[in-house]
Amino acid sequence: MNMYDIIVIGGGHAGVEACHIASKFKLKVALITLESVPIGSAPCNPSIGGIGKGQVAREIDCMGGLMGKLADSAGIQYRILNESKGYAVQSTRVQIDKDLYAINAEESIKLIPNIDIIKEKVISIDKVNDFKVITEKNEYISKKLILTVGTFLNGKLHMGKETFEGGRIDSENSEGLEDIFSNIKIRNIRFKTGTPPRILKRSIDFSKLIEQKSDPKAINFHLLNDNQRKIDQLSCYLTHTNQKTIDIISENKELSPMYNGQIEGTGARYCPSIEDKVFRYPEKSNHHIFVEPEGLNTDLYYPSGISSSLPKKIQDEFIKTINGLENSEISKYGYAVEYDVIDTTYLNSGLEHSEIPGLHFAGQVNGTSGYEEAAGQGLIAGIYASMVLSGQDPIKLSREDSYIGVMIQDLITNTRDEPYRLFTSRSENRLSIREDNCHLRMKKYRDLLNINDEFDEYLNILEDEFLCLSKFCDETSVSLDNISKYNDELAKVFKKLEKKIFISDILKVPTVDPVDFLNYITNQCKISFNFRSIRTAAISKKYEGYIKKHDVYTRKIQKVDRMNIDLNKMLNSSNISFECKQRIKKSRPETFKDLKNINGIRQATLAVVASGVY
Amino acid sequence: MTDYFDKFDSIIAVSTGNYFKSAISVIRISGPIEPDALLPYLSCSAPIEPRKAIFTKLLNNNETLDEIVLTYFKGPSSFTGENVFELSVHGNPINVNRIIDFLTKELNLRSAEAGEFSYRALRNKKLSLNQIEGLDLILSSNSDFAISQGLNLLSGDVNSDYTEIKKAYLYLCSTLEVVINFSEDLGEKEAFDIFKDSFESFKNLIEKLKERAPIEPEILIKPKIVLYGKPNSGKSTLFNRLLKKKRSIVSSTEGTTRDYIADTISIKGVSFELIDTAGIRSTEDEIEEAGIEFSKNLLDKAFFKILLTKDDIKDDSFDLVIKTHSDFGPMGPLEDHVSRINGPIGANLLEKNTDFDNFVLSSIINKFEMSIENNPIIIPRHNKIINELYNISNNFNNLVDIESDFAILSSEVGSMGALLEELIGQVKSDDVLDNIFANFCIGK
Repeated sequence: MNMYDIIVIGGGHAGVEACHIASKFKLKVALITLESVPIGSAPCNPSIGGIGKGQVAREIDCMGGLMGKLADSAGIQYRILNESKGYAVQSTRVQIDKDLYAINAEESIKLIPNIDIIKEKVISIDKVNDFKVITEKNEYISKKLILTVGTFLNGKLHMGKETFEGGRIDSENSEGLEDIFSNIKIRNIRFKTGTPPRILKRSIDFSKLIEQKSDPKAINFHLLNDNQRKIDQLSCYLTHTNQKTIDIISENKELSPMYNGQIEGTGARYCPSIEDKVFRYPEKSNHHIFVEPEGLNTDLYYPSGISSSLPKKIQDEFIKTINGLENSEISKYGYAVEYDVIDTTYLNSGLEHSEIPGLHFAGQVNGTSGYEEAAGQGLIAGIYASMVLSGQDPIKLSREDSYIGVMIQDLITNTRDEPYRLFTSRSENRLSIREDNCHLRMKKYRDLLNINDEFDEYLNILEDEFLCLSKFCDETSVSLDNISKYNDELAKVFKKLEKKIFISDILKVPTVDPVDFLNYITNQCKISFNFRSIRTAAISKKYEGYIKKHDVYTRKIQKVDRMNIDLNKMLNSSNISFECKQRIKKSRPETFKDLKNINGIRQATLAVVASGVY
Repeated sequence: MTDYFDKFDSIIAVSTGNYFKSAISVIRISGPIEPDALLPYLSCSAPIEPRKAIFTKLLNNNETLDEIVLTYFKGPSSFTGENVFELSVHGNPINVNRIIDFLTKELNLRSAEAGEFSYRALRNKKLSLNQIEGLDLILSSNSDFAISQGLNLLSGDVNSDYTEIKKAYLYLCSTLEVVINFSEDLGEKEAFDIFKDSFESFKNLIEKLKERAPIEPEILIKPKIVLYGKPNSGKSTLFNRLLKKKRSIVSSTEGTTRDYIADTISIKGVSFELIDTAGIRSTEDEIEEAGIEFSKNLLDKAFFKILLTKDDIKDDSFDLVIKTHSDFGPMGPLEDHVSRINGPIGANLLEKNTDFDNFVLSSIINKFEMSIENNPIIIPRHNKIINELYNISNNFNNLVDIESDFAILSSEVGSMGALLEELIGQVKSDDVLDNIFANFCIGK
């Protein structure tokens, strides 16, 4: 019998995390995916992490997800972004060997006994009590269904005048969701994304490009990994467009599907095609292009920054104007894809559809972009469905202490007219939601999953070490001599103060690198701690005062924002307009902030709810 | 105020002065009360149509209480957003009070608390907090200038300077986010430079605004002229001279005993409260400490301070020090009386041989006109925020020089935003992102 607890449809980053985490709850899980699409493949940029996204990748790792492990296993170039701009905004990004990443992803899922991988195309889905998933060959039954179908819903590819049905260049698409699942509403807006042409390595003149080497200081994503790289490291390269490039693109505006009306979908403004850049910022000619390897053994390079849907001939022409790419041969041309997205305001904090209980959506189908965003959603949907099936109260990640929490709340309170990407500015608590303290932030959530493996033991140790070190910093004084051995200038500053100096005081000095100093002191005192604990303790101390100060300023607003509100009371209130009630009913806000974030909610409604008289 | 939150009953109050006899007084009722509830007490016939003045008798059984003009404003299209009835009745306070008592009892109304009508308008979002402040300014201020500032607020005009600040703040946030999130796309140096520039322009705007935010804005709303000096220094004489009338009765202002007496004088259309600090003596006179404290406060809040003294005193804390003679009666030449004048106005006037009364009055109005020359922001709440913002942006300026941690810089800018929010409304993360994408070529 083809009976499952959970069926996940779609084997991308969301689908992989969803079925992987569900398997830890000892549930019977199936992953149904198209034969032509590799599991865990990276169809666009060959990298994991980045600003905000690095935090998400680590959060996934700490919650028992796969992404961190996979990224390390295929990592070929590590970078610390924003290294000079402060620890709270630092993020790790790793270029991955795409093939290796996908192979490892499939292997990892295959090795799990309670997951069946089913490579079939889904034709339709029914729901009576359970879900019935009908493929070309079989029928499958499940209690919960997680749809992670990416860009495949009604996917349509564009390359100049040519258009194809499909979710990606080398694979078929899925039917529209309405055809598969008749009673689901999709948004009447289509999203668009694009990818640049790929260039053959042998055709690139690397001597003209600026090399960026892998940074050995960057910390691996998986918490249990030491800091050795798993495979050989490669470099990335930087080059720029120039006026000639711009001219060619300008002259061919009419051939661009984005600009001649052929594409109606909305693309992300933060991920513009080269056409967008040229037409929107005509005064700028030197756009950055990062030339990134797609793997150790592949001949393909990914020129990040020139995604395009112009005809092949024009792509050939403009790319040859770029410094170092004069003789480049394109192996795969860039294209744009348009696809359907669902209305995420119907989803709850577990990404479950309010009108079809048991049905979850995660990833790009929710109108997000990015592998990390997709994986984070897959993880949350998987955890929620699993916990409900296991009779547990599902956990809910708060936006106060995780970027995944920020993303989920943003998604379910509002729809957007462009693909959603996590920016660190979306968080109100950037000083506290950092990469370095990710394991401490996520521990309380992970504990509730009851996974109880070596990871949890390690987390316990790290938490103890952190508390111990924090106390050590607050209670241990340092002599001026000792400070002057570290930095003479610093000692002079403190000498003037004529008071007892604690380690914490020094960690807060703007010119001091707190991690470096705490390393120095612990060495001096001949005490040894895990390098992660030293980092977290030192950085937390540095920001302590600023976090408190920020809290004071925002407390007033947040106090109201955090206020819990009564959904039923609002829906029955005579002081709230019918229209507002419709919006409230759809988004089901839990706090006042959720309510405030709903588009089109009336000021009068906010006023009556804030005052409690609804 | 919070007590009002749970009250949705109907309230009643007289809206016009109720202390003197006048031809007409207006009584206002606001709340869920429907027009039908009033019908049994009126001689007119149903229906009571909104926005129509109806001449009718107000009846207690068959006895006529008064002949009134009734206007009904149906909520939400009313001042408070609720059903509002305005009754124009004959203005004798006895009559007005009798009608209020009668309606309160018969219609189960409640006497409105001070400011409750405005409060309901605020609660029902008929007026914004800014507009309420504008209304307050109109009702309480003594000068054309303050009234027009109030009217601007009431008509919903956001101060154009605030709009500019909001734009500059949004731009500042955006450039910070560009540095943090998009340096790779734009180039490190280019990103940092636009951040520095954006803070410079934001800071300049705050500084400009700060110049328009006097430390004590209340002083300009109801400007007070305080006459200060020992007993028998001539304060009362000057008081009467400036008022151009002899006070036959010295009536103490309500709320104080005999601490000071006050009257209103109008100079070039601006009303000033002229205060003779009759009861104030120096400490050696052993009067109660509270009294001294009170007079000091009065002096602190004064717009124009005049010290009358028989001694040769130089005191910069006064606008005008008038040396008086023992026979400070009929005025001699100006310079006999005025020994020291602070500020440039006085010096000019001293040269001309102006007559004494005119000199004092011109000094006062000149100072006032100078004070409002740059259109000062006199709404106390705005004023306070602007002063606080000024301090924070100064601190931030120093921080930028020593701190390279952009997470900290951004957190500090966020703190500014929490304050600014009270002035310019919320700046959301999506606004910042929109601004980034509109202004910078971002993305790979």
